[in-house]
Amino acid sequence: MSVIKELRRTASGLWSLVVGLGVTGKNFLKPQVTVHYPRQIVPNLDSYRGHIDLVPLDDDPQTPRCICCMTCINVCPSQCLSLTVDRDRPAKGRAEPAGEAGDLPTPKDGGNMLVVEPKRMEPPKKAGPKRPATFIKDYNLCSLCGLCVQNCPVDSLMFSRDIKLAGYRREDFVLDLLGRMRARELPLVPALGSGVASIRGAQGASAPAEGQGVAAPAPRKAKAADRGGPDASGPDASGGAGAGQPDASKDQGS
Amino acid sequence: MDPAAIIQAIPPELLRMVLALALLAAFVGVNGLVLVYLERKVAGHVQRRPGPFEVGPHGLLQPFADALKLVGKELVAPKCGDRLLFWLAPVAAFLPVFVSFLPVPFGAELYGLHVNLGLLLILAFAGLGVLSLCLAGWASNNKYALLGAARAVAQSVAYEIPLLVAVLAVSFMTGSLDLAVITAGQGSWPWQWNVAVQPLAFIIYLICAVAETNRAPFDLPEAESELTAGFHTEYSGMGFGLFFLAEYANMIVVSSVAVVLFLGGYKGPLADGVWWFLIKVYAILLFMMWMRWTYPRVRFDQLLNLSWKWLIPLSIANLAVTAVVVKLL
Repeated sequence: MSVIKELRRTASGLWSLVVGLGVTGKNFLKPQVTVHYPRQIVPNLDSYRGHIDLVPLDDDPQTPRCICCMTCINVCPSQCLSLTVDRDRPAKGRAEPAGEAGDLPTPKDGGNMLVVEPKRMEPPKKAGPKRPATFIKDYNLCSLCGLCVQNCPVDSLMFSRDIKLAGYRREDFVLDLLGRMRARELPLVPALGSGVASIRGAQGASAPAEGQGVAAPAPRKAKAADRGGPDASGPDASGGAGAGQPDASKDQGS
Repeated sequence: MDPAAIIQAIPPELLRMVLALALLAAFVGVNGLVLVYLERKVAGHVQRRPGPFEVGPHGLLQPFADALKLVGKELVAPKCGDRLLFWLAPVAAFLPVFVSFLPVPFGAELYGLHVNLGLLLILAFAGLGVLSLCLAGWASNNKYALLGAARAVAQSVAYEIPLLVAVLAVSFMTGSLDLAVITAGQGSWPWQWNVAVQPLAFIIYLICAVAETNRAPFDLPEAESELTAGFHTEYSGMGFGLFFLAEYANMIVVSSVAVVLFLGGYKGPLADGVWWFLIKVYAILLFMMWMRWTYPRVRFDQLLNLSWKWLIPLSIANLAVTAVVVKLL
């Protein structure tokens, strides 16, 4: 009996050899899975983890969501992030700076008040969270662990999809994340007659510096879904082959 | 001194042999390049990737780049190793190939030397390849290389026996050890080839050929992922290049012998000729490459079990049946 069992085992073993050859033979005839970079580009980069980038506010694309809590800086195992707080913004819990515009004398008596105090007519300056003035990332040290992205309480950090990052010196990889965000995000179009412009002015939104110079097809309106990450709608994502595309396409970064 | 008299004094067989050696050297050299390229391309496509692609169109110049790289490297030998044996080993691996090709009939008149013991010559010189592995392992002064060499010798000895017995079955049937006679005894059509009469011997021969050349699932002596690189751990540059070339040359030799013995040699449908010989040799070579990227490496005890417990009894049984049939019919 065991001889027959042995022979059957051998026969099935030999058949498995033939099946194996069939598998590799079929694979030989199937098309390649390789993407021939740079002649072809991977079509979907949604899950690509590039270096860290800042996420802007939904209603103010020139300001990051960052509230300077320093969680990312403390949690980073390679200590590659650093930021400085913007001291010119009014922050919660900080005394308002003295000597605002329009220091007209307040009438103490209830006399004729024809002069209206400009201070009271102005909408009050809204105190808000701290915002960073500079946000530097040393990509030379980063290990792409994602702890900063994971632990940011306001979801201010994301992975970029910059697959073309290359440089000749170490200094090329010390990234100014705030500058990158501002160059990438376009300022909002102030809607006519809604007073939006003045609120922004009151909050002291920093002048969009580099972003303005870029020839944009049309400045976009803020969209909640537009979280800075390209949702890789077809032609945009694969248009990365043209290195000279303006940053306004905001796809693969600069 | 009359030049004509000198030329007439040279025996024609010698002239023929020298010419054949020159052509064979070119054949082996060109095939070395072609096979290296093919191996990498086949490996790539089986794994659904392109293989070499950038050097030249579709990577066609890759073997030249590899050859230039190997030739340009420094020849380093281990300090305490046996210097003479170290450099003798790759040469001893490579040179017997040329002798083995001499009796093989590429075409009706395309042979280097008419040897009526051609088969014996080939098998004898195949043994020299084993010796070179021994030398390489010993002279490297490296325990991994020595282990690799020991495994190689055990493997080669174990698989030479069924190889010989399978070949012997064909010789019994044909009545000769002369490769030209064996080829002439086969017809043009596949059912007239020896494989139709001796299929078991063909399969046994193929398995033993793969094992003798340290290929495919039997590449323990090289065992790239296990013994660093086995017997050629210490070799770099041209030493490694010669071993590499010798492996591919040996592959061509065993494929040629398989074609002559079992697949009708240069004979084929419609028109006999060297083209059929080359097509069949390349078919077997591609099959060997296909096997390499299909099967996992066998363990050492499995390797020896296969040879001693399966192939030798089967080949002896095959020989016995052949002898009975030949004598009684």
